[in-house]
Amino acid sequence: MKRIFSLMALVILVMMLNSCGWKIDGMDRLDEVYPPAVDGDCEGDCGVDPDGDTDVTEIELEDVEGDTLAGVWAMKMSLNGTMSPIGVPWKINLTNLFIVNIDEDESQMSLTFCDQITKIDGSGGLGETEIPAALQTTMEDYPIEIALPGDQSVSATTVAWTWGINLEDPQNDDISAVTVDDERIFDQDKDGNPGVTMTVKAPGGQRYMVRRAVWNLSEGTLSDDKQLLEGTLQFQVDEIAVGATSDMLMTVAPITSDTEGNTYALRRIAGIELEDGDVDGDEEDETLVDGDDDTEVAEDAEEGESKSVRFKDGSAITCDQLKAQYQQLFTK
Amino acid sequence: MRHLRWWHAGSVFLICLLCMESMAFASGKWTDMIDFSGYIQSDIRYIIEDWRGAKKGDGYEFQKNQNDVVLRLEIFPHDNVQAVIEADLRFYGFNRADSLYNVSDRGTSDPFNLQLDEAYIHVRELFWEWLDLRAGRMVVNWGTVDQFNPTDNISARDFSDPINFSAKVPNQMIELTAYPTDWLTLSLIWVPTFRPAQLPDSAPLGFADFGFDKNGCFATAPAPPLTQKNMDDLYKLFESAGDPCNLNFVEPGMPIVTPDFSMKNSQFGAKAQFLINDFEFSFSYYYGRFSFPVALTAAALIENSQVDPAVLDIKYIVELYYPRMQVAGFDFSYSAEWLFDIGIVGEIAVIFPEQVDFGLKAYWSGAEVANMGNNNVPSTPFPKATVGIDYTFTSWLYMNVMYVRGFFDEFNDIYGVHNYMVMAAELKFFEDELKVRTAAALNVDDTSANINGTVTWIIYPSVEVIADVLWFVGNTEAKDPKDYASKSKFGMRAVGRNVVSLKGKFSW
Repeated sequence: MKRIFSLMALVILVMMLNSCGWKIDGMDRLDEVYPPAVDGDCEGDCGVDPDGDTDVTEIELEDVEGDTLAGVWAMKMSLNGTMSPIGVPWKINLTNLFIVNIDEDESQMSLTFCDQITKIDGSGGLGETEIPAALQTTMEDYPIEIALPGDQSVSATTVAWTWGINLEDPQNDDISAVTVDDERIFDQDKDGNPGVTMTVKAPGGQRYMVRRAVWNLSEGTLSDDKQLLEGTLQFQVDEIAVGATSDMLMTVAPITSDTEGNTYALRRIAGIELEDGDVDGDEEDETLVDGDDDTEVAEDAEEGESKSVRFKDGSAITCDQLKAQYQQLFTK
Repeated sequence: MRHLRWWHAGSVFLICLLCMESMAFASGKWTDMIDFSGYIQSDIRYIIEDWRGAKKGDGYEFQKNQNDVVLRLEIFPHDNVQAVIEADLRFYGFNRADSLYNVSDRGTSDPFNLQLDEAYIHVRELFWEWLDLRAGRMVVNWGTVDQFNPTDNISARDFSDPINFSAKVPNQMIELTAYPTDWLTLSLIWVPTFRPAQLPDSAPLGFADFGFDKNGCFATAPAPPLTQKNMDDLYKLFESAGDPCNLNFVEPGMPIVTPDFSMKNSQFGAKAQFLINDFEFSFSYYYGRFSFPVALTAAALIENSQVDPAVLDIKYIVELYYPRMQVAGFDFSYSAEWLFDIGIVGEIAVIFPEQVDFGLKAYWSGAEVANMGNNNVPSTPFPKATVGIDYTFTSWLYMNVMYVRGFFDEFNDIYGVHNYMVMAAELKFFEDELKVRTAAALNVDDTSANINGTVTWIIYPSVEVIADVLWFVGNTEAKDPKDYASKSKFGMRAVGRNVVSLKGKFSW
């Protein structure tokens, strides 16, 4: 009988040892059943190519020298915050791209909107938006004017930028209760829908909305080579949906600004004398900005001389070019 | 396919009869070598409410119109050999031909199937006179209490018919039983593949019971085993999707992670049973899986409707899993002659479970938009137990009362292990020709209950008429729709319908 008991005990012992660490994880199982997308899996329109590889003609430029701020600049504004449309906080990054003209006496800079790129971490694309061409085109007619002190600097200032709504006091008017019947709303992009029309990628559809962004810009710092002007900012964004192609797009989650990490940067693109056709077409003199290296001063540039950008195709910078190459332009 | 199965099983049965016939000729005493028994039963069942169905208003209709022919054949070709075959030919009694194309198909217009409940060989005194072998398709019962046996895990329960909750699922296995002394019995069982419990057709409502308001608009989601904060986030996700009336929940999916047929998924049981005077007790061990599924994952697949862009189609897929476990058990029964002959029974099982971590993800147009996880079953060992007494007051009155810690399907997940009182009373009249039995199980924690009443009238010997009523008491809705643990045990619609049943049975 002892042998029988011993045998049974041995079998049970083996079974018990075999069961150490039994565990099954539902998250792992979900990843197995629904494999997460990996970089490079993006299908369809995945936004701006991070490598800047597009069909748009590349900007070929060399450093532009100038004694003053006057001229054409590319501007990138990076805004970071959080939003919680489904209760889980998601990090959101908005990148605003502008072409900036600073007048000859440096009293004013004019920002022409090119694009806004939305990236939301952890949402899997939910809530990300895209600027339709109509909105981009129409915004060119509504440049943002910012007064400058005229002493080769950008002083700290507060700017309000509105979309689709006229406000008496753009910085302070309350728009939280705005409805589609509000007389201040106008069809800014002229597409027949109130306010402006924003494309929402997921859930897919169109949102008709008004928007106000208030930026508290810090004083800008000009780099020693006068090619880059940088500063920080605080921002507040108010968005109100006044219509949508589906109910689910009527919910607009507020964005809470991060207290740090919001920056703006202007990269000098052309001198003041740039006009259409005022281009040095001598490609031999061109120095390409390759994005991997510091920008180089053109060989034919003389100290103190204001120089224009020499574009390959002879045209001025376009929004498409800026969108395609902004990452290279702002790579130090 | 069904015909093939029927023919196959029929052929087996016929061959057995022929074998029996040939053996009979060989021995000349073939009638001594077989025992042929069985019964014919008709069961007409009617749903007597309309609030426990998948949709409110479903009810007041026939639930069953079933006829069973159960044939049991026991063959004794040798004093030490027994072969057992039990088959159930079941006709469901409901026409399922919904098209002119299949009205000519008898299998569709009069659906049936053949179930092989037992088919095994029992060899006594194998090699030694103290060793028995049983091998084949069979059912094993362990434990000493009435039905609520936490140590009984070899054969899964068959709850496909809630009135007949004592039924079990047969499986192929090999059992060695040793009788080294007259006070000790040792058993070893090996079950090569796992078979889970059969559940009532209402069971999916336990995992994907969406609530809708009177306008048919989404109101509540099924509570997965998540924390309150996770549930708040989940509801925000649904709220962010806009008008609840624009959420179209398509038929939920409930796939099961089925164990493969490898050796590691075999089941194994060992038991040492002792008999000392009036005291019978045993120690047991089981290695295998819990036969009821627990929630492992949930995925909400959200897509814009192709028909109406304003509508979101939401497919909810809950994946279920049979967790592995080991069970160390002890059971006893004692007849206290010194105390009015009261029977005292008890069982305790300590379960060593596999840890199950639940995960939920939501995908919007294929992109993951939310994920949340929670430990559903901790790896901590937990006990399930039953203790009870039974007493025969007179020749016509019998009662038993039991305390049950942990119902059949409870596995210490987020719902927990609950406490129950189970009572049964049986009265017999007219020399046992009329029997009235009432039984009830009360969940002490949420005060929900299951009440079953049965009246059996033996019209003639071997002919019975049986009337049953099954009634569930408790709230069909969870106290807190966001709390997995707040559902009412017997109130929730997953446990089944309130029904009355009328059966006629002829046995031989």
